[in-house]
Amino acid sequence: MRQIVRLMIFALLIMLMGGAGAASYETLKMEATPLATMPIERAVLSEGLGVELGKIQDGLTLDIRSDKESYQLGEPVILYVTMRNEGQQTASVLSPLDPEYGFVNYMIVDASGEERRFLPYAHIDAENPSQQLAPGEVIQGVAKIFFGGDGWTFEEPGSYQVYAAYQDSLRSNTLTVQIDAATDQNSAEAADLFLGSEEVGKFLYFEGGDHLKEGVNLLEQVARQFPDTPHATYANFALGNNLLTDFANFQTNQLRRADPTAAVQYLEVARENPVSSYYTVQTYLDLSHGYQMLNQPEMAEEMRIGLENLATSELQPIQNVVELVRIRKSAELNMIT
Amino acid sequence: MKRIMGLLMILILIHTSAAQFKTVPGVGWEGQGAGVVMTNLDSNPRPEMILMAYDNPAQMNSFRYKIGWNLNSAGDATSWDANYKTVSGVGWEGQGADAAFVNLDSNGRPEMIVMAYDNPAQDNNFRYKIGWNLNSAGDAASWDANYKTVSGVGWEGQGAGLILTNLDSNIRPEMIVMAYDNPAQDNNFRYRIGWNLNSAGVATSWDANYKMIPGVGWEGQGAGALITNLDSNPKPEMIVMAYDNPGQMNSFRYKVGWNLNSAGVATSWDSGYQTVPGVGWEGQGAGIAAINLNDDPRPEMIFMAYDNPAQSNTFRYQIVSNAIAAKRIRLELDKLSSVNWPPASITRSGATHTLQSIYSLAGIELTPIQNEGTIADLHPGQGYTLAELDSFRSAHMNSPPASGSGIWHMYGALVTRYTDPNVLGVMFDTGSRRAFAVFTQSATPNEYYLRTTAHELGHALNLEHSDSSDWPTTGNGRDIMSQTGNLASDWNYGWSASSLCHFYTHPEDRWRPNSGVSFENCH
Repeated sequence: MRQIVRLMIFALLIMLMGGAGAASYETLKMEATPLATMPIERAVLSEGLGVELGKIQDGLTLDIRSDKESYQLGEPVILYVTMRNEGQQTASVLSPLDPEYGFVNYMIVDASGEERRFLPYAHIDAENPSQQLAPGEVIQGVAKIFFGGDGWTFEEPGSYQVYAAYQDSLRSNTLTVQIDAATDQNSAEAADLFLGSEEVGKFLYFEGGDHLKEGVNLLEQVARQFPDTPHATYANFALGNNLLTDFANFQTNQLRRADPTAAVQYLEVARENPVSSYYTVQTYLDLSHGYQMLNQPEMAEEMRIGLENLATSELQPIQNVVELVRIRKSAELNMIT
Repeated sequence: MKRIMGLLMILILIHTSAAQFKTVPGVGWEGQGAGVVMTNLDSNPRPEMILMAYDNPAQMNSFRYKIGWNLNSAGDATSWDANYKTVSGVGWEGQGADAAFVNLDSNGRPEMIVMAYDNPAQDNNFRYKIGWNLNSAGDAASWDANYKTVSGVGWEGQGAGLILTNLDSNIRPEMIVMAYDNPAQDNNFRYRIGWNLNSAGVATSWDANYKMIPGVGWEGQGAGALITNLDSNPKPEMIVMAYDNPGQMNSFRYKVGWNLNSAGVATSWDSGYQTVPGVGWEGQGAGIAAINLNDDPRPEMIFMAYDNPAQSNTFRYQIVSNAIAAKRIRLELDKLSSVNWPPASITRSGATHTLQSIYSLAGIELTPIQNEGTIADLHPGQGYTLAELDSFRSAHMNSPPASGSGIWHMYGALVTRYTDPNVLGVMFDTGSRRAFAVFTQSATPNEYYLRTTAHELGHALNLEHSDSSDWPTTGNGRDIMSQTGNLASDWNYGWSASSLCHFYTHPEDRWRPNSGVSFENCH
């Protein structure tokens, strides 16, 4: 029965993707194409994980990227992670590469040189995470490293070094994550409201959560009082994304139904002020879905075309990431609502 | 007062529980040290006992060990290796030896470390070598070609012990080497600590000076050491034991160092010592170990001596039942009305397993509480998100044990499924490590439901997966903390050697929920 369900989901995804090919919910395997051209530094062996390069099958590489040169304090930091088989043999690997699954650890070194492992909010056990990666194929993942089991990750401005390690054996490049201090009073206050609340961090990490009342109130406050800050875009996206689907709130013991009207209002504001590719792709997908729910097929189509245009222009360098987010979002919307 | 009560309890247990000793054929005629290790190597959840002696022929010594398989609740092995295994020694003369298990590398199989207290003309030194990734037969994939040397603690010793544990905030293990120093009159215990062993088994640094504790007699014929927790303070106790050698019958004598700090220094040491009856008149080594063997979750203490009659030596061991306090956990379980509770028991390979029995092997008294069983399934047929599970926990985790009881409160949410139907379980507050969810539509059939519940609780107790890092290229998991996709057909409800090391040798704050030590590579 479970296999049948999986096959149905699989077929549905392919339909949604317009027959995009063999892709799973958890990961996207595709022919390797260039990723974003952000500057990266090659791996330097670290004592932190006792990592030895090349211990896994020859030919596997691991890369992490960001699509932002720098972040304002409080902005969510999202990494795109890519495992690539550059060898001649098919490799058996474990995925997803997201930190919650534990196959890839994300290490963060702050300005003082202190190294710590990013602790995701959840640890997820998948039934069969093993898959075959043929030569030339890649697996993509997304790492929301801004908030986790230890709370907010980047609480101070500064330059952080981040790297990833698969199974503690295959190490990625080291990426510099630059966190800038707020440039104006509004951004400073918005950052304070974000970083001062665990619930805001949770809500942004979950991209929803009615039960986090304090977090919702603070995000609404940021969206209302500081609309010109990047923080407002994250707030609008998360609030809109939350309202686009039903939410089972066990604190009230009620299912709150999706409210596409309110969701679209938040999401349209977020769309007007793009902050990063991950959120832009999700915003367009959400809006397309929201307009469908509102019986506005023209608007839904406009959002779909808008995303396609972005995907072939400014988001083209991260086409793989766009596809990954698209697949996950499509699956999520169809499974939840 | 609490400590006096604890000591009284130990004394009572010793006098009431120490039964006749058990005898296992030895591995030679002369030895210069011995050790005992309790672990789990095979696909049977019952523990193995490894008995090791440092054999002393005319020239080069050798370590020789044999394995007793699947000890029953009385401490008797189902079978013993017919032949011993040999590891080349580290010198011609020794004055003590021991063995320990740990996991140093990213391979899930355990390492076995053998150590001898080498005895040249003047200063002794500790010498150890590592057997890497023991297989289910107890054979290492390889042994270090060369030994590693650590400065000794005197010129003459009468026994030595080895402990692998974790004392500081670094997740890499510490190695404690101890010798029972033998001056002209009163002996004393001396130990030093190697900090944060790397994946090659080399310490980042060693204590410059040793720590010294008054001994338990003038002459000994073996010694051992153990890390455990005896009182309500989460800091660990260190037990040092010597096999005292008076004119006739020997005896095991031990004393406790209470609440070791992160530098490995005890707050206080017993002024006196406890005594356990010996197993012969002459010995050539001794060891001490802890494991739970019977239905009572309080672990047993095992005292072993390498008895030395005229010809072939024998291993002889005593079991002191229920000698160590069990960790007590109240596992609050809540479920949606549309799912079942985890099965009360599962019979597999002829044995019956429950959540309680699985955790009893780890020295944990687990009390599952079926608290709320009629929580509405708010969107039947659909998966739940992490945010929804977070609301589930925050709304329903509400049945803690009595304040001050010392019982740990942990929580399991039993729901239909996650948004990704491929997911079996989630530990969803990794910072405080208290709560988890099991997805009943994925964790099926019932034997997986019980296993996944035990597995997720293991994560909440700071255990990571026990699979080897080269999985899925190779590897078959069999124990509770193996990933489900990696399970061999003969998987079982037992703990891996690495998991047992965690429960029995890591200080409590490495695995107690809400201890401030987050989920990390602690296995």
